[in-house]
Amino acid sequence: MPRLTRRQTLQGMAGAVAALALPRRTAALGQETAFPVDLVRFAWGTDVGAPTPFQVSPAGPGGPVLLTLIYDTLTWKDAEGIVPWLATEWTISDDGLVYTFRLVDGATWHDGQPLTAADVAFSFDYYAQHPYTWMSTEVVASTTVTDDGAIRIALKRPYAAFVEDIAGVVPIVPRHVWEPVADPIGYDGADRFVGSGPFALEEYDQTAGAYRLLANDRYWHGRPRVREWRQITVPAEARIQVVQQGEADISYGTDASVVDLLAGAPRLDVFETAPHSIVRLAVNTERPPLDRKEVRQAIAYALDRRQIAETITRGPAIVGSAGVVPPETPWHNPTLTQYDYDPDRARELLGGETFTLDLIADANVRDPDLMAPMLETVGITLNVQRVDGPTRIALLDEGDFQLALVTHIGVGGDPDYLRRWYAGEEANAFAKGSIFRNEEYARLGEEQAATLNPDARRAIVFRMQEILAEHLPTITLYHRRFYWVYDPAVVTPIETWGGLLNGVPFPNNKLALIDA
Amino acid sequence: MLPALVRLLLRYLLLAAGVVLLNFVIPRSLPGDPLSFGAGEGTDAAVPLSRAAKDQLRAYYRLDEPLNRQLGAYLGDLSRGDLGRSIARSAPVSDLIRDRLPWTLALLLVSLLIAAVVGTAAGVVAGWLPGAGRDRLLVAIASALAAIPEFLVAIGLLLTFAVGLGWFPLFGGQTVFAGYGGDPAGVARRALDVVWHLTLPAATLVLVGTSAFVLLARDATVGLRHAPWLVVARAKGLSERGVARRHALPNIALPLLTFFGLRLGTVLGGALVVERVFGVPGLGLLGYQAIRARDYPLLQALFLLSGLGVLATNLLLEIVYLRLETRRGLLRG
Amino acid sequence: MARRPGALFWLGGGLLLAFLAVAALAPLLAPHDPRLSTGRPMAAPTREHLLGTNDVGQDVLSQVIYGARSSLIVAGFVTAVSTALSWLVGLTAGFFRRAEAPLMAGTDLLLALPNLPLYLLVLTLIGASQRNLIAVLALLSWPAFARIVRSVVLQTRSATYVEASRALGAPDIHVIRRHVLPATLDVLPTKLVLTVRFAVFAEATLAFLGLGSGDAISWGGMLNWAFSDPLLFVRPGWPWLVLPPTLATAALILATVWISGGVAVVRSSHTGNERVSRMHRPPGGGSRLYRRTGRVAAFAGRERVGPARPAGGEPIRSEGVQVEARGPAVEQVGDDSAGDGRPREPAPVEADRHG
Repeated sequence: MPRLTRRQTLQGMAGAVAALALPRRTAALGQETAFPVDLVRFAWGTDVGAPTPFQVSPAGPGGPVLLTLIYDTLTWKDAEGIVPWLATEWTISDDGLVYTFRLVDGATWHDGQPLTAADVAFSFDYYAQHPYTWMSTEVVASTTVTDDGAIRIALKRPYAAFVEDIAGVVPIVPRHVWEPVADPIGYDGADRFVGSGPFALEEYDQTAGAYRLLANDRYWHGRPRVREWRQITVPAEARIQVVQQGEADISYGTDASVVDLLAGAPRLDVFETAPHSIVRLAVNTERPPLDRKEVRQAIAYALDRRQIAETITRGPAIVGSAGVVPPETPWHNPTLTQYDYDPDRARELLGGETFTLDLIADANVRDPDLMAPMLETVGITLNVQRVDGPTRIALLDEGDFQLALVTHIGVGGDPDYLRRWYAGEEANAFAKGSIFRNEEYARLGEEQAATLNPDARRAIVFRMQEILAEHLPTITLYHRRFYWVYDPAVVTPIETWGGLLNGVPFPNNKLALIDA
Repeated sequence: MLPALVRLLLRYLLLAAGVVLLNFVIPRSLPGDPLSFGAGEGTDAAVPLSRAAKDQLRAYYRLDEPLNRQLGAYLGDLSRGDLGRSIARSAPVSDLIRDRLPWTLALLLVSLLIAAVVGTAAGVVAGWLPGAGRDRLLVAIASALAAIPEFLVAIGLLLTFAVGLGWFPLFGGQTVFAGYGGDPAGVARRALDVVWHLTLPAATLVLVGTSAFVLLARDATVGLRHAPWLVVARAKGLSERGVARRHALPNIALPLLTFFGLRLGTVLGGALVVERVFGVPGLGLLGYQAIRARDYPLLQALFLLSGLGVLATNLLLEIVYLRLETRRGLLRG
Repeated sequence: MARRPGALFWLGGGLLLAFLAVAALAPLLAPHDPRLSTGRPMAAPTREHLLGTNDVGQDVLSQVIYGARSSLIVAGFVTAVSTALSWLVGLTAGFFRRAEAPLMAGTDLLLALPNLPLYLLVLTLIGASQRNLIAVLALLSWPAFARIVRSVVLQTRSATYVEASRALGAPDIHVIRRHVLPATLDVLPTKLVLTVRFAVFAEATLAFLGLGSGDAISWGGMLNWAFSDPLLFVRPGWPWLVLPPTLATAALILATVWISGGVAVVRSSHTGNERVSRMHRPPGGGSRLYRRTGRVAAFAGRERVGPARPAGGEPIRSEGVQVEARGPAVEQVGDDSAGDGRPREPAPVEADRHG
C-alpha cells in the first residue's frame, strides 16, 4: 500500500521549493495552456548519449526511441500498421526503384523554421556521408526534390523493407543546422538538438544520464498531451522500485515475475509486449560436427526449451519458433513443424556418437547451466566459455566459435533481417559468423527483399522460415516479452505493429502522447 | 640528499612513461573493439550497421590505422592536453572526467578522512590497553566488518535505509533537474540534496575502510606501549594521555600516513562497487562502463589519471622517507 | 613465558578444518547434484532442499558445500602463488642491490595501475575461468607485500648480527636462510590472512560485477547469479540466495584471521626468547627483557646496536641494559611498508586491492 515515506515527504518539500525557484518556462514553445498530463518519467538503464542522430548511442534501443520524440520520420507505425507521418502519401514506381513522397503542410522545426522537402532530401544525402548508426541507408541511391515539392528517392535496387525500416526509422534533420557541419559526431553547437518532433530537448544532464524534454506546443501533427517527458538512468536493481515508490512512471523488467510482484499495487499496471526478443544459439555450420544437419536437429530435440524458458522467464514459456520469427508478430509462419522435446529422437539422430561442443555465452545468462545437463543425456558435452559482450561479438565476427548463445530484439519487425544475417554483407553484430550456405535460401532472400507485393512477399518469407526450420543454422530457444511497469494515470502504452521502429518492444509510441 | 632525490625523480618519471604506454596498450589488447554495437549493458539490440558505415566510423576514430600511428596520435594529443573523444558517449573525455571527478573526490575523500580519523582514534584507544574489554570489543567489531565484502555492506544499507525505511534516495548523486538556483539559498539546498544522496554510499565506504585503520593503529599502538622511551616518559611522570600524545602518536603516525597515502592514491580509481550500487556518477562507474564498451580514449584517460595519481602519492611518500632517512643519517651511499 | 593462543585460534582452526572436510567430502555430504535443476526455482527451504533453491532450481545447500571446494582452491592457490612471489621478489630486491631497482620499478608499476579496472581488463582479455581468475588475482596481488618483505630485509641485513655474520664470511644464502628469512616470517601470517581475504573478496566482488568464473560452482558464483537478477530484493526468498554464500565467505575469512592471530601471539612470545638465546648473552647477569608484540628488545651489551632508533628520542642507555629496537619497530626505512609486519591482527595493506 502506498505510504508517504519520509523520502517522499522530503522530496515533496524539495520539489515544492524547487518549483518556486524555477524560472517560468519561456513562451518559446508556447506552453501557456494546461496539459492533460504534466510529467512522465521514463526510467531506462543507461545513458544514451547526446540525442542527435549522430551522437546517440547505438548500444541499445533507448537512444533511438528517445530520438523519436525529438525528430520525425517520413512514415510511422501504429497498432495496425504503417501510417503516414511527415509524408502524407507515397507512390512507388513499377520497378520498385523510385519512391515519391508528398510532404505534409505546415510542419516546422523547433526553432520555428519550416520543414520542407529540401530538408528531407538533405537528410538522406547527409546520411550517405555520415551514417545513422541505428539504420543503414545504403540502399538509397539519390534523393531529389521535384518541381511540385515532392521528394523522390531512388534506390539502387528494389527494397521491400524501405518504407517500414528506412522511411520509418531514419530521422529527418534540419538542413539549416547540419549543412555547414562537416563533423556531426564532434559537433557541439547548441542547435544540434533542433528537430520537428512533439518534444524538444530542454536539458541533458550528461553525468546523471538524465534528459528533460518539453512539449512542442506547435507540433504539426497535434498538440502533445504531456507537458514534460523525462528519461532518467536508474541502476537495474532499483528500476522497478523507482516506479513502485513513485520516483518514475514507467520502467521495464524482462521476466514475468514482475506481474506477480506488482499484483497488489493499486496504482500500477503491467504491459506485456509481444515476444520481440529472441534467445537463440548461433551455429557455426562450417565446423564439424555442426556442419551436419542431423547434429543440429539433435540438439534442438535434446533441449527441453519449454522448461528452460519457464525457468528463466519465470512465466509462461514462448518456445522458440524454428523459423526464428516469433509468434504474435506479423510475419510469423504458424505452419512450421517444430522440434518438441524428444531426447530419444535426438539420440537416434546422433546414432550413438558423442561430442564436446564449445558454447560462448555472456557472463550473466543462465541458459547454459540448464542446457548442459540436457545435452549431456544425449551424449553431447557442453564446454561453456563465459565472455563479455564485445568479446563475444569479436569471436562471432571472426567465426571463431562453434555455438554461441545470442539474445536480442528486432526479430518482430520487417523480416529482411533473415536475409541479412546470412548474406554475409552486413556488419551486423549478429550477422557475421552466421554462415549458412543454402542456394535456395539465398535466392529467396534476394527475392523477398525486392518483392513489394505483401502477399507474394509473405509467401517467400514463409518459405524461408521453412528452410530455416529444416536446416537449423540457428536454433531458437525461446522468445521473451518485455514487461513494462507503468502508472496508467499518466502513461498510455501502445503495442506498435511489428514493434516500434524496426522491432523495438517499447510501449511509448508517440501517438499516445499527442492529440492527433 | 640531492642525488638520491634526483634518482628518485628520474625513477618516477620513467614509471610515469611506462604508465602512459601501458594505458595505450592494454585497452587495445582486449578482444573486441569500440564499435561492437549491440552490446549495451543489460539491453539486447540488433544493430543493422552496414559494413560501409562501420568502416566509416572506424576511419573517423582512427581505429583502422596501424598501431604506431595511433600511438603517435595519442601521444601527440596528450602533449597538447587533449584527451580525445569518447566513442561510446560521443563527448570529449575531459568533459566526462571533469564532470565526474568532483563526485568521486567528494565521496572518497570524505569517507577516507572519516575512516582515518575515527579508525585511528578507535585503534589507539583499543591498543592502549591490549587485552582489555574495550580492546577486544573494538577488534571484534573491526574484524567482523573486515569479513564482509563491500558490495554486501552497500546493498545492506540500500535495502535497509533506502528501500525499507525510505529515509534515503534509491539512486543518484543528486535529484536530477531539481533546478536549484545559483543564489546562496539554492546552493545550500543543492548541497543538502547532495549530502542526502551521498550519505549511504559514504557510510558504506566508511564502514569498510575504518576497520583497516582501526587494526593498523591498534597494532602500532600495542607495539609502542612498552617502548623503552615510553617507560622513561612514564617514569618522568607524564600522564598516560600525555605519553600517548607526545610520544606514541608521532611514532604510529608514519605507518598510518603511509597507509592513508596508499589509499589516497587509489582515490582516482573510483569506488566502483559503491557507485554501481547507488548509481553515483563517479569515475569508477565511468571506467567500468568504458571497459564494457571498449571505449579506448576514455579508458586511456582514466587509467592515466589513476596511475599518475598513485605514482604522485607514492613519490610524495618516498620523498618524505628520504628526508627522514637523511636526517637520521641512515642514508646508504 | 610462552603465551597460549586464545580460544579464537582454536575456533578458527576448527572452522578451517570443517571447511576442508566439507570440501573434501562434498560428494558425500551434498544432498543433490549442484548442477542439476532439482527443484522449483526460488523455492523456500523444505526438507528436500534445506536452504531452498536458487533461480534455476539448483539446491542451495549443495552449492554451498561444493562451493567450499572452489573457494578454498582459489583462496589457497592465490595465497600460495602470491606469497611465493612476494617473498621471492622482496628477498631478492632487498638483498641484492643490483636487482633492487628494476624489481622495485616493476612492483611500483603494477601498484600504480588501477586495481579493479585492471582485474576487469585482464579477465576480459583472457576469459573468466577459474584458472585464469587464480592467475590474475595472484599475479596482481603480490606487489604490495613484496615491498614490505623488502623493507624487512633491508632492516634486518643492516642489523649488527647480520653484518657480523657476513664479516665472518658466511655466504649470502646462509645469511638469508638463518637471519633474514626468519625475520621476514614475522609478516607472513599477515600476508596469508590478507591474501585469503583478498582472494575471497575479489572473487565475490568480480562475480557481483558480472565477471565471475562461470564454470565452477563457488560462493562468489552463487552471489553472481543472485545479483544478476535485478528483481532480487523484491522476491520474498532472497535471503536464502544471498546469506548462505555470504556467511560462508565471512566464516572463512574470520577463521583465517583468528588462526593467524593465534599464531602471531604464540610466535611473538616464543621467538623473542629464541632469538635472544641464539644471539647475544648479556655480559652481566640479570637481564631484563622488554618484549613487544612481534618484536624483541635484545641485549647486546653496552654498544649501541642496530640501525633503528626510536623516532624522536635517544636510545636509552643504562647500566647493562641496552635496548635495541630490532626489526621493524616504529619507523620505516625508506619504504611504504604500512603496518611493518603485524603478526597480530592483519594490517590491511591490501584492503584497497579489491577497490
